[in-house]
Amino acid sequence: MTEPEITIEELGDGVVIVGVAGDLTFANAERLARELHAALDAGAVRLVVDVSDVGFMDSAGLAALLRAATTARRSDAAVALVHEPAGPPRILHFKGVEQLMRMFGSREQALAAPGA
Amino acid sequence: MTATGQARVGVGPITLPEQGALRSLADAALKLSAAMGVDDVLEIVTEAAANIVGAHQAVTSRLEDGWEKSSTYVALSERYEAYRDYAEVPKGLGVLNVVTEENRPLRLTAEELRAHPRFRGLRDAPGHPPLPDYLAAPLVARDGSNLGLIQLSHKLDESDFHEEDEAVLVQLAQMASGAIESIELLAREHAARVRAEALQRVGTAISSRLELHEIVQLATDAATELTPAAFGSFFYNVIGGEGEAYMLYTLSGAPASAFAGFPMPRKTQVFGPTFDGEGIVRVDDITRDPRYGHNDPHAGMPRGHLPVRSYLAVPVCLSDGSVAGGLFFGHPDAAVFGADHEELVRGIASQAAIAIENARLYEERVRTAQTLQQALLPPELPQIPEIQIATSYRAAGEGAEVGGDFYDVFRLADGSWGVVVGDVCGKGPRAATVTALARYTLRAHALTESEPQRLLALLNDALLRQQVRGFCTVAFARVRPHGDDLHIELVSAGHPPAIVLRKAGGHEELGEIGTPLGVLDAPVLPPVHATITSGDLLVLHTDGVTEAAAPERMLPADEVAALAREAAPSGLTAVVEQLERAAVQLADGAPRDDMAILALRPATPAGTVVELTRQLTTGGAAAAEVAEALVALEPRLGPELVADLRLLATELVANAIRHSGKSTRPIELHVRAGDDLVRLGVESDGRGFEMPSRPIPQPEGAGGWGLYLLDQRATRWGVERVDGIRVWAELEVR
Repeated sequence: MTEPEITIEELGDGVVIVGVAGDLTFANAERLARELHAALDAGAVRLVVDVSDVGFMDSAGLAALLRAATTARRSDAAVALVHEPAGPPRILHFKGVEQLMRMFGSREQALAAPGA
Repeated sequence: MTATGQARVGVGPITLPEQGALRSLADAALKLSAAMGVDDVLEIVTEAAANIVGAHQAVTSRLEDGWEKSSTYVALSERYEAYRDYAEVPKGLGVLNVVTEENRPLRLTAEELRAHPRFRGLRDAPGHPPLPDYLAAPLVARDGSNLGLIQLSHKLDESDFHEEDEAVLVQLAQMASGAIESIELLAREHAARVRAEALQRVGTAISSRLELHEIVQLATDAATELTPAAFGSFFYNVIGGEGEAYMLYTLSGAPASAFAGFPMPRKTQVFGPTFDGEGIVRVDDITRDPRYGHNDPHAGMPRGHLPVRSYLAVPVCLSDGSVAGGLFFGHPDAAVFGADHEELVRGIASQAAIAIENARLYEERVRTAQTLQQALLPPELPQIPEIQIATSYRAAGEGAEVGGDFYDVFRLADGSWGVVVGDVCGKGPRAATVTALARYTLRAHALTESEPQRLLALLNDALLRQQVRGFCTVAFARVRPHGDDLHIELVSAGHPPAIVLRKAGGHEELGEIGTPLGVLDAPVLPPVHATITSGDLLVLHTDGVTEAAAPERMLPADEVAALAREAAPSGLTAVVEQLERAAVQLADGAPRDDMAILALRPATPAGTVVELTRQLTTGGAAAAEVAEALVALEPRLGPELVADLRLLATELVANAIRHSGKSTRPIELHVRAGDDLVRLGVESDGRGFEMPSRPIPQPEGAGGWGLYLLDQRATRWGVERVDGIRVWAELEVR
């Protein structure tokens, strides 16, 4: 298992892309949570979290994303998720999970989507 | 009030008969006896009177409720042809009243007529043919009441009416009265028979329904059909599940859209008497009724309402005096509803009332039975890692009776499992008390006892001690997991044998039939033993399954075994469903008895089994350790199943770490994978948690997803308190 690598990319106008690579579990989900909240605190209005390179995610990882999305909504910001629709992580394919956040197949789609 | 009587006029040559009065009277009598209706009688007798007596004018009237519902036939000679359009219904004024009131003939010359104190002249009747003189005879019923009269005027030979004319007319009047009476009697009898038949038909139809809405719809349709109503409706009160009252309605003769926009009728002056159950309201013209138009906001019918003048409303009262609702009928014309229609609807209303009461009682019974039934069956079976169990239960009938069959699964004092299927004699509340007693007695004693024989003997004592005696048959299996096998000790107290299906093929009937419980002080309860191993299957059932279609058709043990074997690859639930379906089909959908089915088998991965056990760090490092451990299973189970296993294992491990407190004992991960299923177990120190009821609802917030995912993905899962806590989950290999 690999420690996740987190990259932050600011595109201006409050648009921030957070790339995650590796496994996202209870052992490290806090790190991602801190990064996401830091970005929101810094004024991000649109947070695109790319988990295309996350091979595994547990409910702690999911919770980190959901908490960030809740915080974002409070300040009229939004969190969108990018992952390959048919690919991992498995957790995103469970009933009910796919409706929790806006999900896109690629960063381009996420950025092009209105109001994301 | 407007007169609703009718008059017809016939004009033609009137000539004295050549054959003589007597012969003509006989002819008239013959014709009258063949007359089919009152109008025919009027026409025959009028023509006969005009011709036999020889008069230019002849008029016969059948009076009913005075002139209100009269029928009149007028015969005029060609000389009076100018008056052929004078078809005015007599107003019942003047001298003719003397005839109808006193029921005696009246013969007046021109002078006498004009001098008569009750002659009013013809000034009230413009267009009336001149009345030179007058001869009249009453139509008298056998009971002496007046039915009407025949009047003549202006003899053909210009002479006065003489005594003989009067005698002939009285004779004709008598013949006509007789004919009218018999025709009307027949018509009344016919109408009564038609009404009785219709009512009976409606009554039978209504009383065979148990669904409230069906009953009221049928009553509305029938009443609308059997009366001249243009449309009818039934407004009825319903008590909702929360105890709130509201009103529903059915319609007949008008589309639902005709009333869709209107509010429910309130207790206005018009509707009030019906909703208060005060009685029937029948009005010829509701728009002219003093009660009409007094209530805001519409002051009458709301705009767009179907036009109503004739109005008939009948309350539907229940036996306790409460009003279930009301039947309402309308017609755009005035005065279409008569007393007979009122009677008919009254009959339908009382039949509907009985049916509504039955429906309410039945609903109440179904509700009570269902509540009781739920209390008598375990809401959830315990999840036992080594034993897979599926059950099915079906009460006979349509759910109004509590069944007498039951099943239960609980832990015994020695840690093994008690699996019970029983059948209490009888059904309904009495059987329910015995069922409850049986289940709770066994469960209570299971805290200190483990021997099936002993437990059933204790239940036997309890049943015998009961005030209300009841007996039951019970199959009690004590199930002890032993390695991959299950050791079964079965005692059958008068119950059909269990069926053991062997993986290798073939089946055995298991159980030595002992004494039913609650009958003898010392029942014979011989135990039998068997071991079932991976791939085998044990089926317990009540006789309702094998005898669902008895005595015509039975479901023999061979067939039960064959059906179970056929369904087994699709899982245990499929097995019990298959058996229930087969029994129900055999009984053409209406099994004569309740049926309870329980199937169990070792929850041991079958085929080539791979096993791994790994000690994990109590901390973050465990996440990676789970992944490393499971990767070894990928060649066998495929990456997708392993990814799911990893997800569930990670959730269980994270849970264990969270609940481990200060414990330093390593967490143990255990996986056992066979061809059909994978068992995952995580054992740790900690206080554990209560098994929530399944299915676990989707969490609302960010937390709680771990157990939800586990519950979604695992076929079965559970929590066991061992030396510490052990959470296990079973996944099917597809």
